[in-house]
Amino acid sequence: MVTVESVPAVSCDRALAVAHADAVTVYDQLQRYRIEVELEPDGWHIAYHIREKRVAGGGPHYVIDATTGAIVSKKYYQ
Amino acid sequence: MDALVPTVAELEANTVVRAAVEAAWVDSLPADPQRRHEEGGWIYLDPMTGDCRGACASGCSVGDQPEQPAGEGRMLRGREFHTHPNPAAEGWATGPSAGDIRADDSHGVPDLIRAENRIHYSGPERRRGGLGGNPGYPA
Repeated sequence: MVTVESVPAVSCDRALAVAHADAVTVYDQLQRYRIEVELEPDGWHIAYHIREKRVAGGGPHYVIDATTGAIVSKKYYQ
Repeated sequence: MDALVPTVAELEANTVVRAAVEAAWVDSLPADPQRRHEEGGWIYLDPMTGDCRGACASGCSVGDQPEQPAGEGRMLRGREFHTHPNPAAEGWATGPSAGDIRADDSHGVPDLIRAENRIHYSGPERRRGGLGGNPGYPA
């Protein structure tokens, strides 16, 4: 049996650009974050995490529709 | 000795701690969308009695990490606190972030997070290692 995974209409780069365009309007110094990207059934999950392990704080988390590129949900962590 | 270290709930009820947390909240300017920002400080424990003193709040930004309050005897950092002044109505999570939880577990002291709806907890229930160890964060 062969499983064929469909290619999302919205690429990872495009989803990242959508998330980033929103994130820069809310957060300063996005270079402080590392970014995790995963393709899930409900879209691209993009999470910004503070790089330094002993520094508190959070970044934005997004779900981007993999068909339209629209932001399905977002949460800003402090 | 661990029995002398207050739990997070006991410290939240402490008037010294509450005053420090509320002062930090006011300094965060939560009602001002342009100037609101995080504030925070540390709560120090007397290693002989477990009493908390020297709470540092107003004007003490989250980035500062004094070893102990000026003018005090030997004190242990027993807890920290900070504010999350951004409101849920604008899409913000008011509770601890994954980074808060990770950092607080690494520091080994509990964290009180004052937000618009309540005070959230993060990190261990009480100072790791009790009243022994380093005066700053426990080893």
